[in-house]
Amino acid sequence: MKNFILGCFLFCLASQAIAEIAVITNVQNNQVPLTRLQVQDIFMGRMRAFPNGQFATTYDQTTLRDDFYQQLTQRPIAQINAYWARLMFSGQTSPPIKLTDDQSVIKAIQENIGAIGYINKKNASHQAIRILFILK
Amino acid sequence: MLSKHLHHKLVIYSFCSAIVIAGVAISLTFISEFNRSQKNAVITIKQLMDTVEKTAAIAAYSRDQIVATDVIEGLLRNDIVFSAAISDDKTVLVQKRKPIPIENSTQLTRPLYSPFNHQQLVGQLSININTQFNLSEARYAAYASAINALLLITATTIILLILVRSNISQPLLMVSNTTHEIKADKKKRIPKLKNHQHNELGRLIDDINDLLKKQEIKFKQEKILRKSMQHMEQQLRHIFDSSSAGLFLLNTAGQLINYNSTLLKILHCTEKPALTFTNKDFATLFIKEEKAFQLMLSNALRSNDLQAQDFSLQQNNGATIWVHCLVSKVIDATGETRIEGVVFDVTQRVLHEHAIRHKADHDALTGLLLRQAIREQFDQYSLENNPAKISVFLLDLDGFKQANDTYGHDVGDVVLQRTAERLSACVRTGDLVCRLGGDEFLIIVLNNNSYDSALDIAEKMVHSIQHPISIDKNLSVQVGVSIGIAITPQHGQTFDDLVKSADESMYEVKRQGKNGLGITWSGKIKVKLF
Repeated sequence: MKNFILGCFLFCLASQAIAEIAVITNVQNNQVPLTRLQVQDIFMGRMRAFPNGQFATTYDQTTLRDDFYQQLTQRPIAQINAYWARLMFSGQTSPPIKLTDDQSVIKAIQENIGAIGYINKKNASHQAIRILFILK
Repeated sequence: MLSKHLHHKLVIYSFCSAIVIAGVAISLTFISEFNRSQKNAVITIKQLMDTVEKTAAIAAYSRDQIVATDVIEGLLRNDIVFSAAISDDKTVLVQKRKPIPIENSTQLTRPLYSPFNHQQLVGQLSININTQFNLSEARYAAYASAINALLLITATTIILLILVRSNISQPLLMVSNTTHEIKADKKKRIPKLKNHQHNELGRLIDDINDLLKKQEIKFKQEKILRKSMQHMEQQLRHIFDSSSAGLFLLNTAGQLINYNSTLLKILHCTEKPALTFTNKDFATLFIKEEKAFQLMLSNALRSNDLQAQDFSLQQNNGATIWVHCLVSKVIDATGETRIEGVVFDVTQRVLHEHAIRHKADHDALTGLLLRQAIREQFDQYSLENNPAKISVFLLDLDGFKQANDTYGHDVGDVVLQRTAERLSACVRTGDLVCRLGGDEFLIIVLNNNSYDSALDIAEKMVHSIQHPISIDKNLSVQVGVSIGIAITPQHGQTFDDLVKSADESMYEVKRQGKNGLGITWSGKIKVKLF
């Protein structure tokens, strides 16, 4: 019984620890919010453009990458890497451009109308970005 | 393919049957192989799909043509794949096929799902099976089994040929050749075969040897039998030929079929070639009384009794021989009715009998008939001729007693002999002249009852007797005769009546003066003396 209670507690802590992630784009990109599937298709290279026709450039960031893909695809990050490893040989489809943290992502999005990336939701109140999807 | 040898035939037949069976088996193999390889192909294709599914799904998901091309080309490296295509949810991404013509290819498809969401259909992998491959697989299997079967069949056939030849054909040939050479009456036997003593061949040889043995024994027995039969036949032939009786066999028509040499001797026909008699009518060949002989034959055929009769045969030289002939009906071995006959030469006996008869019927001194004989002949003639015309003359010599007493019996005998000759000369040959005894004579003239003629004959006799009879140079004797005449029907028809009437007339002549003739006529005896 003690173990069970401890387990429940630890689980609560863990879920508390995973932060909400916001998928963002340039504020000038008048794209209405996306569905989870659309977000997935864009980040996994299936869709090269937004539903509104704007060409999409995807950005990863090392800080949130594991959590993001974990939550988005329900797959371990190793599988995601393997997926990209297969596609990279063709040279046709490129994985998202890798950045380091929320700041560098926001900066990249401000510079490119078709950019799409993800940041911690806490930092998503920036004026120059538009939130497309909240990953919980 | 006609072969003299049993083993060739057997082997050819078994080879042909094996080939036919193998052909059927190979066809079945081909069909089942084809089916199996089709099934295998489907399984293989499914396995291939399993292998490439993930990559294909990624290619479809990301719509990456290069990855898709890699997958498709990889698939096409398999012989079993004819063509392959990957399409996403809208269009065909990549489609490739092998440069070979294929009809009716079976297509297998596999839906491709998103690598990140198993409910999201992102495309389809489709593969067409290379049926040519299936066919060649099946063909290969069929060829393999055909070659296999052919090798096996050939090997088995050769082994069979060798085995049958050495175990059956050659021993049989040996048995056959040996049997062929063995003569029925010889002691030779088929030798026993070492390896076949207790099987069918051994039994065959034993049986053949048994048969040969039995045949040999039978042959020997038959030889002995034949010898004894030949001997017996010779004996019988000897008996037949040397028989003192003439033997003959006739058919129902009376034609001669067989006869012995004695027959020809008896019939005195030895100088003629024997062949001329067979199939000739026996009666016309030899017998004088043809009709009597034919009657005897028909009697023999009608009854089952032995028929016997004497026949006289006319010889070429005019002599007559007498044979006693016995005939009887027989049925020969073939069921034909025959007449067998026996002929004895009885000429001597008949002649002897005739002589005795003659002696009994005739007077020893004059050679004239005796009373009993003339009576019988009269009766015979009366029976055969009705009414019989007969003239009877009863004679008694006059003066004979004196001459006999005077000159002796010898002279008397000469007188009687001369008288007999003269009386015989007075009548025809067929008429009957008889010495009743002493100096009494009876003459019967047949077929003549004329009164005038009778008187003429009587007169002729009187004159004839009157002539002196010369005994020697110095002596001649003269006698007279008294004749009584009787004729039918005036003086009766019987011998006794006629003789009696003649006797009465003759005594009247004697009473009136001798040497004359008399006849009772119209109730009186008319006498004429000379």
